[in-house]
Amino acid sequence: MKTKCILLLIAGLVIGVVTMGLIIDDEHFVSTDEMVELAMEECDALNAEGLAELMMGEEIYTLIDVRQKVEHYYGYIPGSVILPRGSMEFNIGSEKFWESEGIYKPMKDEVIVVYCKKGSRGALAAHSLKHMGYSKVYYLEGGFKKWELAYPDYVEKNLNALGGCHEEEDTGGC
Amino acid sequence: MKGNLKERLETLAVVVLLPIFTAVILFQLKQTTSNPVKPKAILQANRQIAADHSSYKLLQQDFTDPRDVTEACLTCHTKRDEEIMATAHWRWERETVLPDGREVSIGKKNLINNFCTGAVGNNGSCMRCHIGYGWKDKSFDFEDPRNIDCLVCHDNTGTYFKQKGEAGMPATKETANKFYSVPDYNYISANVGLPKRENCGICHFYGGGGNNVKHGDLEESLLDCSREIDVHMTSEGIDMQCTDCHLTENHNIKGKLYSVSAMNKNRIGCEQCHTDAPHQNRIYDNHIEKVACQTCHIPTYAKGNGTKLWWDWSTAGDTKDGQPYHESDVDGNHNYLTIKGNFVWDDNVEPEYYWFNGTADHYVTGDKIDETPVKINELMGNYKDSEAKIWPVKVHRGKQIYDTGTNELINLKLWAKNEGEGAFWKDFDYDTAAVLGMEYVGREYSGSYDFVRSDVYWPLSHQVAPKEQTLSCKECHSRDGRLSELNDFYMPGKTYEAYIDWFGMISVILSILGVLSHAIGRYVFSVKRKRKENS
Repeated sequence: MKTKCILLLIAGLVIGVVTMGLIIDDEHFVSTDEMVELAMEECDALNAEGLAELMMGEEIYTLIDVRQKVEHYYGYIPGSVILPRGSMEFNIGSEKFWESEGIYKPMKDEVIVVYCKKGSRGALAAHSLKHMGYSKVYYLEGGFKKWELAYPDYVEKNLNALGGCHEEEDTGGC
Repeated sequence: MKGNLKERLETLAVVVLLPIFTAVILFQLKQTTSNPVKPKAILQANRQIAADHSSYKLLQQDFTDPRDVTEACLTCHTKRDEEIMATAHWRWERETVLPDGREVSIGKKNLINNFCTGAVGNNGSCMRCHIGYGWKDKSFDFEDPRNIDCLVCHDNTGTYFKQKGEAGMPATKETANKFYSVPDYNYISANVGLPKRENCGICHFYGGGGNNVKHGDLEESLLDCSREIDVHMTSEGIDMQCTDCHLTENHNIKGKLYSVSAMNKNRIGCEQCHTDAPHQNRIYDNHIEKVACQTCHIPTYAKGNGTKLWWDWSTAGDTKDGQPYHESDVDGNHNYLTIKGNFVWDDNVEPEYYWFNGTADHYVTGDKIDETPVKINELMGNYKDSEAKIWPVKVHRGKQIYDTGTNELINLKLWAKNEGEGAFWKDFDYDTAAVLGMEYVGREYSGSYDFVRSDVYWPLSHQVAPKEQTLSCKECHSRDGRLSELNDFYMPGKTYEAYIDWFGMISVILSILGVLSHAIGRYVFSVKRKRKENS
């Protein structure tokens, strides 16, 4: 009788654990924030200082801007390739794409850093790349904004792609 | 009999003590958590209703000079001019003792910052935000009550504006243009009342040359905002005006700006309405001793529009084909202006956190630069300071001009109406602008300049979030949380020592081993006992 009780208890525990596991596996995100939070938990982050160090080092890396083109042209980190998140999974492994960018296609074990405006899209993109088998993927913590604030002199823009700059308007004074 | 007595005593103990323990625990719980205290606020709308000024003949005269309106106001509102003239809004300075003991008189009148660097010498432009008429140069008469601009604060029509570039004067027939018309003084003076957000905002929202450039938490979206932007000022809710919190007595408006003031007095606080134990939750309320309400309740700022976080004057003056130009970022904010240099803007910004005891040190004009970045207004306080609390702060970082010969920040002449007058915004010549700016304030300029990093600190108090968006515990009580830069105290979840972690880990392992050994021991001995019994 005692043995039966113990067996039943163990069986109950196993069923409970399996059920919980199934529930967790089947979980839907309540909000986008939760989705981003999970991506951030499961991916490695690199802060602006870390990226600067990487850029000055000798390790091979690929820096990807996953924002939309129009966002990129207004200001981007030097050396970054624009690969909007919407088409990233399709182009990341495409020889044709990387040829058009004039650089080698990143290997799955090479360092890839992805960034967006403030870090959320970058984390989701990094999460996606990780699932695609890229093993050294980082997202830039705080995104382009943090970079811009940390290294305001190391920012490039391509306003010609947007139609150029504008004449001065009266913006003096307080 | 003895055993029976013991059992009875045990039963009695359980029957009597258990309810007592339960009652004590419930009482403690009730004391720890209950509904938050309802704030007690008397809003401006309920406090005072302005008299109907439309019937006063005195205000129906044909005003050609706004000073005549002031004179008419003072006919009935006697002595108010004396009140006004005692305020920092009028004087643009106040006597202050700095944390290092220096007794100085500081304010917008004489301080240098890393936005437009300083008002003095650029009167035509900057003094548009003075509550007076015509402070165009040093000849302005601070003792003449006719120079007070009553309307800029008390106009309730939304039609009264001071004209840009006219040293605080509204448009006249001679200066009116497509942007500024001559105010209808009869209509405006007939519709005066207590200041509304629009009145305060016309200066406090646009300081630094545009909306939300300076404060980060004060900007035009507050004129008609959602609960998410500000629970107090939202037009969807309580719709509070500035003076509902910034209580005012004899024109002394409480609650001051730490970019231009230093001492811990004349302040306002959330407890005015919310009490100093508002949560009815002992754990939360205990935080108030060391954590400002704003820290948890303003998780982000610049929620309606972006704010300027970086300003690099060293790049200003660049032209294209000889013409000044501007560029914008993807959000439409200027990030380069020939007249001002490079900027970085951001919105929905997480604050930085500092200890702050209500006092601020200041770089006073003429101080030597002894550290970089130059702290224009360093917030004072630390964990051991009983007055200090952790505050959310906007830090505006920049590079601004300084004299490499004297090692002091420079007063620049930025503004002039016309080219050729030496103002940087017209002629883009730093050297001339420095010579003229320094000359105006009577300071020495060595003739050589460069740019130095500087920081300005803005404690945040506006854009309070709805309670469901308040910071959660783990956002601070974690190793990489928001307070990770504050390292002068122990904080659960954040602070850790490796040897304590090891000690804890070893204790856990030893406990588990102890339990396992005990269980194995019992099992072994029970088996042995059974064997012995069977044999």
